[in-house]
Amino acid sequence: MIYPSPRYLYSGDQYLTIEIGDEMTLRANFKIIGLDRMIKEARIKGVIETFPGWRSLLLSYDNLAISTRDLISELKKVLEAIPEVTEVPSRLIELPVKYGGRWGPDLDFVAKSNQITPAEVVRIHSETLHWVGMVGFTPGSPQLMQLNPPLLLSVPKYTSPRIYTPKGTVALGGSITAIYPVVSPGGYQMMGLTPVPIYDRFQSLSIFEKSPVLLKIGDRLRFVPVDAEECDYLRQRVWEGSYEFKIKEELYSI
Amino acid sequence: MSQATFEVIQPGFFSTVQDLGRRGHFASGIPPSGAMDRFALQMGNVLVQNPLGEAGLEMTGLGMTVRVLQETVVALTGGRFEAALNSNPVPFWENITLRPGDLLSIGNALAGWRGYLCVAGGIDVPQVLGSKSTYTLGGLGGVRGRAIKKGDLLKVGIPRVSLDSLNGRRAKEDILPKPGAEKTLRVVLGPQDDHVQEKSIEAFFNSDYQVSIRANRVGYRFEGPQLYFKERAESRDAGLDPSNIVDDGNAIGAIQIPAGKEPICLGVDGVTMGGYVKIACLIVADMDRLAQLRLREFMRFKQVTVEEARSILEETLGKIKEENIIRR
Repeated sequence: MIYPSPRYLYSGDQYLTIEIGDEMTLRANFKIIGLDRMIKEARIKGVIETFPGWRSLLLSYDNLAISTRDLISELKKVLEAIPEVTEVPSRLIELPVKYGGRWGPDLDFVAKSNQITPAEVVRIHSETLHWVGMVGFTPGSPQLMQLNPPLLLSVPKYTSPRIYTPKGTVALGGSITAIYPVVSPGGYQMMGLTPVPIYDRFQSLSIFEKSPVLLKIGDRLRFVPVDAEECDYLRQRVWEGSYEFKIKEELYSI
Repeated sequence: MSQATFEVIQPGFFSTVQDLGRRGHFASGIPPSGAMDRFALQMGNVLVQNPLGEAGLEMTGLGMTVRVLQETVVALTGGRFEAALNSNPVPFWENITLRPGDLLSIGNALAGWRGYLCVAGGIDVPQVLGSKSTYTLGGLGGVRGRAIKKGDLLKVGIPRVSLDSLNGRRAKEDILPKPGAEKTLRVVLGPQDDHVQEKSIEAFFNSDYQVSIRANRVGYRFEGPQLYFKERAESRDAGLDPSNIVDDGNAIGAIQIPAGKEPICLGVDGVTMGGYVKIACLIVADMDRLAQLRLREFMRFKQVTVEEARSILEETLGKIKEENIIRR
């Protein structure tokens, strides 16, 4: 559900959680994107940064510059009502993926769970556009929602998380796709691997000049299936610094 | 300065370059990092007359041994560690003049768990996203994004004052925390305390918890009683377990309680989001206390209000000043 007005929840003495609902929907996510913009535009004293998510926003502030009580009353002035947001700027970004095999050892399990063939999983997952609803956990890792899929792919997470997930792994947990930007533990089912970085700590490719993180809330992704040879070739292009991302600046509306 | 000041002979258990951290990248999944014990780093910087946010070395459990290549002045702060200069014991919270050829060795933590080496001029590493702090999970900052290792050559920036003038400066004893003596972590309830049964909130505040060995800059686990959640409507979006919520942002210091077992308090390198109920969050001033908790020791959580948290922070930061330095 979406609440009639935002809830202000303490997250310690220098963070505040602003929650507008408890659902993982595009509608809630659009409202958060709108709310984030309103908070940024209000330039409230003491606000350090905001972190918009699926249905809430984490705000960090300097409690010596503004008391928690004053901050909340300033926010209430700005956010009298939860905004109705129907259109947001949204980049469409293509990411190559090698599905299955050693690149995505859980693809067969995903297929079995959805009672279709692995080839059908790849077709559905790559034909569906994916919405970035939140970025985090590890640097630059996106949480992706399937946009109007012909069949909603869904799979249980690992019951006990694995210790090692290769960098670039594209994985499904519930109906959410995540990409692992760095080697880390993980609980999502590994479907494939992208040879191009979404996090570049050396900021070597020009797209990473301003930030080592590629994706942000409101982006859309299209996964483009590639074979093993193409995957290696693209990896080589990245290594040489000549890989160029395919990105279109667009608007997206509900 | 182009020449190194320290050669790392032995890196210790986990030593990193830290300043006060980087802000503005939380929405990209990059936590602030920085010194876990901010009082210790800042007071060390006052001692050697650096800007408060200058970078020093953070050591964990077992300190590092360095060979001195150029004359410099350092201050050791934080927990109480075995420390010796050429086999002669040296004090904490007091400036130490080092000369080329000296061997400074910092051994085991005797009280508390994290020690800081602050050096006049600061550790000279490049700023990455506005900070020198090391964030090992993302490979950012410090020495090539990693912990210090044997053989590293560390450079030092230009001191603000002459090294001679730093001689003999030490911190007043009465402003210093007793390292490791404080076993209470003060927290503010929320953001999801309303998911937890009232009896379990009482249990959270009235039970002894033991620090797990799974404790580092990302998070600290604590072992204690099982906590129970209120009944709630089934939510496909949140997940099946009542400790699940629809993922949201994690504050630094947030205390998650997956399955009601083993609360995890996130540290300064904490994961930025998650899908677990957060019963409470550590107050900013007490990250210093968390930093000094030893593995397997017992501690408690105590509830404070945001107003109390603010006064505690003001009081802590108020101690970090030149007036609290005396000359030996």
